[in-house]
Amino acid sequence: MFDLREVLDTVRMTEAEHFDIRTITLGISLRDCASSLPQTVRARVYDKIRRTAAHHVAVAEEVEALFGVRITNKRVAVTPIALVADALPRDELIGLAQVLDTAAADVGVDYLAGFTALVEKGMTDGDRRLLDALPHALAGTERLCGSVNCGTTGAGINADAVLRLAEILRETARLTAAHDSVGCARLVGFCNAVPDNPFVAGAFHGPGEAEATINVGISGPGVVLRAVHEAGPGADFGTLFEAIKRTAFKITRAGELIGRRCAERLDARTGPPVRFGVVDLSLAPTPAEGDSIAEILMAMGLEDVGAPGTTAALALLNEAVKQGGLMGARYVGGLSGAFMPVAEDQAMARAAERGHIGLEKLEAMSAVCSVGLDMVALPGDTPAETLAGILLDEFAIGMINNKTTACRLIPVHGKGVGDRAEFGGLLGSTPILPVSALSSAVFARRGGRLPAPIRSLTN
Amino acid sequence: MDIRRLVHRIADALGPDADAARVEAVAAAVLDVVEGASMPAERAEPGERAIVTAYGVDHPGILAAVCNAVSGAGCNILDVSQKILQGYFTLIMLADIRAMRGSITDLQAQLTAVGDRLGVRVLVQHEDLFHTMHRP
Repeated sequence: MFDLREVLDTVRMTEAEHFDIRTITLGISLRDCASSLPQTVRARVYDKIRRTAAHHVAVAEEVEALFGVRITNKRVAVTPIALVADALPRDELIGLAQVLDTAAADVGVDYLAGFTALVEKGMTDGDRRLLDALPHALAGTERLCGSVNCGTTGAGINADAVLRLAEILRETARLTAAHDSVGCARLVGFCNAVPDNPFVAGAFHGPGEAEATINVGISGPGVVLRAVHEAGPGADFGTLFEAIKRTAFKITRAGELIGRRCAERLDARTGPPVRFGVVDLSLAPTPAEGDSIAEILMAMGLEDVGAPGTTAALALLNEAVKQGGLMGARYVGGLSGAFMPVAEDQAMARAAERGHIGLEKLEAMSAVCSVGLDMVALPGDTPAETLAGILLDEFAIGMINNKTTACRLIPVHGKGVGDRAEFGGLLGSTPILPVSALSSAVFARRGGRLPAPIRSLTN
Repeated sequence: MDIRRLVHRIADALGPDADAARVEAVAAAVLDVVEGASMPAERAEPGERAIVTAYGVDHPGILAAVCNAVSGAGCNILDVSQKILQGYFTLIMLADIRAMRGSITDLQAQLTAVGDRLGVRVLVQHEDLFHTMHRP
């Protein structure tokens, strides 16, 4: 039995409101690729990715055609490379980065993520070498993404790793200065990183995951925007919440269906078994007009993002998406919360241009959504200690509130406040935001670990 | 539905290709028109059907051309609903795709060509999407 209104509702979502599946990400375990011989690691890693992801893009395109729903990105995430290549010297890790980049190109994905170290409590020698390799690894590749998990609610925050990450950001910015330091757009710092996040640049295939897993990132800011408009300015918060929840349910159902079909078809065609993992209930914007989270907040009745009430509006949106989505999917995971990337969301970038949002408001917003300071361009001469202070603030929010916070900070080499950074494509463009001139040098250089909060002791 | 009007519209749309057999084949496919707000369709197993939607400014021959493309691809049309509201044409068709020749991508390409010729958007989507999105 088909209800014609339901048919037309779906068609309107896919046709007029940019409803798409933001990403189908194939997570691949590389744990069986470890060796102390660099050439063995390189050969095993390349071969494993080629074998497992050979049909990934073709299958996603078939499923896209079957349902007439666009899958915007097809991507690959791998085991944190620090776990696979712990024994390799720094220069060999830079070589391995190029192998990963080639493998990504050869299987037809635009990004491969997982050049990652999990160092929330301490660093092995291998972790240290991977961090040393990161700037050149990113500068020498186009598709590779990396991340560093600097803290968890259970372990506290590794302040040595945070300061090191700040230095890596500056070095990566310098090496990719010709393209507005775009290398930093492929590097994420985390507190409470999750093992099944399908969204690059912060994706990786966690150590507790199966051999190969399909995770889905839903999207649909345009669809939610319509629901908010239709609810009208007179709707109270409960009514608005319900309208968003109902929409989130529909887009999550579509995401789960499409993810499962991709996993089934890939499993039938691939050597290693491929399983369906989770739906990530995140709303993710793109630079396309009408595909903006900021516009949803404005449609709720704010003159612009940054107006008093912005954090509450984001909290309402985030919670409604989660509650509606939870009903629609069997397994939910990943980051599951709204993304607020400044450069990738036109209305956010406009608000930054007008001075309506700055680092402080973004930090407050990150307490109620899934990421922290995402795609934020800063002056290139921001000292490493100041960057470390910004990172520590964000990670403290994550640690204390038992949630993920992520930072993609881009200290644009050679540019300052008043300039714009242009990253191109899905990464968008943004004005450079001002940073406090107050010094955090003594604080950021203390080193050691911020102890875990009392809420980590749950046993 | 006015059968005579339907046959005339099919013949118009087929133009020089119209012969009795082709008009009859297309007409037979469209005869099963259901008026109203729902489309019961129990003749094919669920999971083997697709929904074709077409919308745009109304012209003569849209229904016939879409039916022709869908039948021509080897699909069996199970139900059709067509509405014209303020000159705006909407067609929703349920088709059994078990015997479809080629892939759904091929059918979509043909339907896009038909749509381009007539100035309407034509989509084909597997029915599971509609079941899944609106039902727990």
